Amino acid sequence: MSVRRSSRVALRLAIASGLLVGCGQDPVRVQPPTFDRPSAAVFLCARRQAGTDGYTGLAPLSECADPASGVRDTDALSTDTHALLALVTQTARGEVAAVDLRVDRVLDADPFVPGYTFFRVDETPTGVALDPELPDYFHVASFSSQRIRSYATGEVVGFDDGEFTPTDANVQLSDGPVDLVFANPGTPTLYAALPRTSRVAVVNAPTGPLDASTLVEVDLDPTVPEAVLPPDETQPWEKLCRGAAELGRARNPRATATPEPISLGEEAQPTRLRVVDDRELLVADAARPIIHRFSIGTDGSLTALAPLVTGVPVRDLAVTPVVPAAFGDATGTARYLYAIDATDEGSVLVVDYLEGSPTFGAVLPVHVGDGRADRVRLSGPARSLEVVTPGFPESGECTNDDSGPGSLRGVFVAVGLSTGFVAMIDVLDLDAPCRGGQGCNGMGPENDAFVFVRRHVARTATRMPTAPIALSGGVSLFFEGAPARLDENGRTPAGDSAPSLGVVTCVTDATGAEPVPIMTSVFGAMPRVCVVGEPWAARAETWTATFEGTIPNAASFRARVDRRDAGGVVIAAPTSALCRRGVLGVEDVPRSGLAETDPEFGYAGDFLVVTSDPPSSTASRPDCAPFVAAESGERTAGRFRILAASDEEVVVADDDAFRAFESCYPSLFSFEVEVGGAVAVVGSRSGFSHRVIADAEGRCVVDVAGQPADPTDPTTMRNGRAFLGREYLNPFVQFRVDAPNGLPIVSGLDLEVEMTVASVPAPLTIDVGSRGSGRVATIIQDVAYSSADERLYVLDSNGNGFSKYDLRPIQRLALID
Amino acid sequence: MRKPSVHRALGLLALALVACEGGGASPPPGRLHFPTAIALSPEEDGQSRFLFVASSNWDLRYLSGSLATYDLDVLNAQLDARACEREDRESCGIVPAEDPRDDLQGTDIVPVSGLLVSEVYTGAYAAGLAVAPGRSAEAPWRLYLPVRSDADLTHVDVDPNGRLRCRDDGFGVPGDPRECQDAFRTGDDETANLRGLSLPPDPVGIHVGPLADVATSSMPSDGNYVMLAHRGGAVSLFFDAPVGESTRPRLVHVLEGLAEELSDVTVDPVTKLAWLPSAFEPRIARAGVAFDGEAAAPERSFLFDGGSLFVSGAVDTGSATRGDTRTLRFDPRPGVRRAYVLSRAPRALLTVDVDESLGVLEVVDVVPIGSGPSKLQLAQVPTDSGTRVLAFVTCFNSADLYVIDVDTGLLLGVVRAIGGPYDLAVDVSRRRLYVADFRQSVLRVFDLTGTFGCLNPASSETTECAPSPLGVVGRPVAVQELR
Repeated sequence: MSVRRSSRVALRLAIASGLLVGCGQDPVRVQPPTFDRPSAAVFLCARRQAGTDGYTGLAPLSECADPASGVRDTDALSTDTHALLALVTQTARGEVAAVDLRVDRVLDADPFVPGYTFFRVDETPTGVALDPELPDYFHVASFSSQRIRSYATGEVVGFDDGEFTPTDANVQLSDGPVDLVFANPGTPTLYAALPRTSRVAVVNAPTGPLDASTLVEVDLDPTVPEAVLPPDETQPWEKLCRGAAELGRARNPRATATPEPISLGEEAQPTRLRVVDDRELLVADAARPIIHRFSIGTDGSLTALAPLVTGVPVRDLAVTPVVPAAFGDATGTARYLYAIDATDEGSVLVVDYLEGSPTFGAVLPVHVGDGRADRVRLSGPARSLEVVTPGFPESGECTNDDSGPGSLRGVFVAVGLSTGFVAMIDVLDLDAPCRGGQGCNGMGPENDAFVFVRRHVARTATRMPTAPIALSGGVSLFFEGAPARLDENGRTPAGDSAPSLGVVTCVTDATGAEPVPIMTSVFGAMPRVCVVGEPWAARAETWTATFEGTIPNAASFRARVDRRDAGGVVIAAPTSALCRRGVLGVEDVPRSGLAETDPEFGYAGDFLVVTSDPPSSTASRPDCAPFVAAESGERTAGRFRILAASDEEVVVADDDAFRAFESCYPSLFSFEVEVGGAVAVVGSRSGFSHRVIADAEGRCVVDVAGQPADPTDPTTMRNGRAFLGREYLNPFVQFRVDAPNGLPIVSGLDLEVEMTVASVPAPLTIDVGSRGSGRVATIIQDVAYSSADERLYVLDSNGNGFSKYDLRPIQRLALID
Repeated sequence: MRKPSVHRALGLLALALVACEGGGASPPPGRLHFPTAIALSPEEDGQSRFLFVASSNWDLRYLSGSLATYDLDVLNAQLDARACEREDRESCGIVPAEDPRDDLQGTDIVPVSGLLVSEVYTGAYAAGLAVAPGRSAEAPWRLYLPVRSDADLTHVDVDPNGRLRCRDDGFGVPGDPRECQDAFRTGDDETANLRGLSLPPDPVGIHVGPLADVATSSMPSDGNYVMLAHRGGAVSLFFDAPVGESTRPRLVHVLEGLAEELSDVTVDPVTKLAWLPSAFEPRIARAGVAFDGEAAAPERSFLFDGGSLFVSGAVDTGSATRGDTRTLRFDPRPGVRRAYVLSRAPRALLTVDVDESLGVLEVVDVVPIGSGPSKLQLAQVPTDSGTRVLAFVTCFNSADLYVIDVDTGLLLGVVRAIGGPYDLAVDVSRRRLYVADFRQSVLRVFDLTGTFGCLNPASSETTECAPSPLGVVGRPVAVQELR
């Protein structure tokens, strides 16, 4: 007791210091009210008198879209006659904020209260909508209050009394709405998504405020019909130049086996609404693998159409306008619906949405390379998406000066990612004819010799004066402790006494009329290293090929001998997920039913390698000395061939060597798994590629049936084990390591090859968290496009910001917070 | 970790002087003083009878912190009887009759008998509170508190009537609490520590579970295991098993070198791996227990590094090298392999697919919340359409509380201007929420009838989903009043 008391004061000082510092890391800041969890926005137009402050009235949005209004011209502030405004919901406080996008300023509802005050609406507003051509009233959906309410816009925008008519129109719903949209097919109508009652609410607003007596709630049918099969292959709109005078070609995306539909619930759960052309309503369903479709009558009523079967629930969607089907073809047309998959981390799928198309409603193959063919490859999980159409449909011919990756003119999909960036997917680039010159004649913009613009692919960020994708720093070899650099012939100065890289034939796609290169030679006078040549399929990373290297994360820290059976000694390794790591035992290889063409054919099985010392009770015994690690970390014993592997068990032979180990390890031990008699190929981003799964009995096997390997298609060659003297191919890289002449391949051979794939074009992204002094964390809540000023707006819930971006070229014009 | 500034150093000196000048005065009985941890007693017949509250004595005004037991039937009945008006709920409530305060004039706070069941004095800066099964019918529960001032694990036995015992000579008496004895505190002076281990300082989080969860099937496994997360990047393991004459937890192993600024520890109910969020690094560390041999020979068991899960690849933390995650909770429903992580960068509740998280957190939903999120509790609420899970999140900096439906990601409601909300407990059976207000040293009680009603769309009970304040336990004391 006395010892404890006497130390208390000193400890208190230390702890108080820590606590104060800890509290200091999150200081209590008194901040005037600003945006607070902004979630949704709508745009409206106001008239103003040039040269004066304030507004003279509200106007149809089409007036703001007129170039004469000055809205699009950032230099016309003193002469513009209109102002583009936005209404932004503040979810945490139950308010709507009005923002003047002309001067990038939040409008203060009550100037007598410090900080900005906003217009109070119901608790937890989840949607805001208005008639863009008659914005005298706006409508807010509230989840907590389970209703939609109308408000006079003049109250929020700050007109004097008498210039607007207050209203108290509201309608109670059967559920809390989560989205609200407006359409005017003839009668102004509001639509709200009701997720828990599986309905869509329909209410007219014929004279401005909503008319509660017109409320109808439409049930959503959860039935999932047969999916429309996609075409075997798509030929996307594209412009590819591989240097001057070389109009390039690339592989077309091909459909793969359609997976079983995934449902996250039995009932429909509407989550997001989109109105298309004022005549169709689309409803994203977060539970059923369909998108509900309705035609909108002139009175706003809904008539159910056949749903789009997406195969997965989706959380957001957007529809493009009709665009040309192919580059340079003025006759064919196409239209697409983009949606965010709600079952995974947020991938984006593309649906054929052209009326009359034989594959209308099909999820299209859009991606070439590693990864799902029916998903757009993006640099992060998607949270929100929006179609942007700057300069579309008509804005003149392209010019070399204005054409480039950073200037958007045409049709694109802006995708807000959870990484804090907005990515751009190309749909129709009106400047593509100029990129690389007409017909890739090299007379295009400077440094634009290599052009890869393709529909449904993330736009690249930079011009490419030289061929993209190359090795950085050549190929390094480490052999018996000596590092060396390989020459153009794949050899080191040691010549035949050291390993070398053999000549390979880079894989091409020979299925079409003309062969299309898939893998491109990047090293050697004759090809010795090939990498995937398409920017949208390539990946910048370092590849390391180590003879009998460790399989990453295939380890256990609490392994123990569990039992003995006829097969050998069973070692338990709880929660090690060994099959998911790609572990294969001797018996697992033939059990997999491999053919000679399978890359794992003939593999002799992995090794279990003990990585912990014996306990103190046995470590001092002479017979246990081989298991004690030397200063170098090496042990002379403790390596056992795996006979069979399961997710949480491995079987090794019950022989003298193992019994010697067992006598030295009466307790738990640690191990890792090494490739046996072959080379472990590991990518710094791709990891250890494999096709191993746990079969019905829990045994690790190669998934021959579910993931068949085709040597002509690198994306199917998922194998992290390379054999000396045999060509190795995975989705990203291809090479062959040859053993030194006359050198037997024995266990313990010290051999490692390393190469870095670089110069992979980066995708074009907008960094929403970028600030002058660094970066801040963001949560992209919504991405919105205003056709009136042709600008992109991004709502950030974390920074409570509303960012405004020009698109020609892309640049942030303002951060409103 | 930031170094203290000059102003902070002066503040420390001032605090030390206060502590010295206080002459070692004990905290007034029955009084909350910077409460940091609360917990409900295990349910009996579907309802918890007691609420345990640990006060940290953060300003070192007194000699020690305290731990108190409140009778929930009395607490709720008395608050209901007060029928505080909504606009007065900041200054309307109850205090234990044992609290000798004389500053209730001008408030609508009244002393109540029977509210405080038991009280003991502990070390200052209790950083958490966990309740686990005890060792006997006479002491069916045992409370564990990580105490930062003494860098120890304090355990307190609880009898069926909620009385606390951390002394050999009897239970803590309301109105006359006494200090816990050394026999109930386990630090690094463990005489049976055969590994020569020393307990790291600054325990900031605690998890307690049945020893059977981590034991191999062939070994005896009565008792509990305790894991402490330490701010400097270590995790410690205790076994609290009935072995011989021992009545206290024993330090088994310490694993260091995990992420800096660990903020909490929570164990995955399936894999039994502990997840340890970091307030500084963009990753969540993980540690596992390798139980080897009998509980009587704990020196053969150890902790191992289960590998980190990176946050920066899943959401925007603003930096590739910095991150800030706090409390996390695993979904309590069988078969639902999800975890909910409080993130401060960005300010959000992250929903994570646990099984798909291999090296990087597999984030499936991001729900924005207020500033400075601190604590999270999950509650399973029965509804017409089945059981729903709600997340209750306190946001200390913005002084508000968020209620989120974790399945839909929908924000049900926000309670604002709470003061300094920190730890919380959800009493589903009574439809009550208890929030420890650290800044104002009170317990705030909220009615959840409206919140639960909002889960049934057809319900016409309410038009407001946010928890409704009922009143306070204690008298709100602004920090400047303490001078």
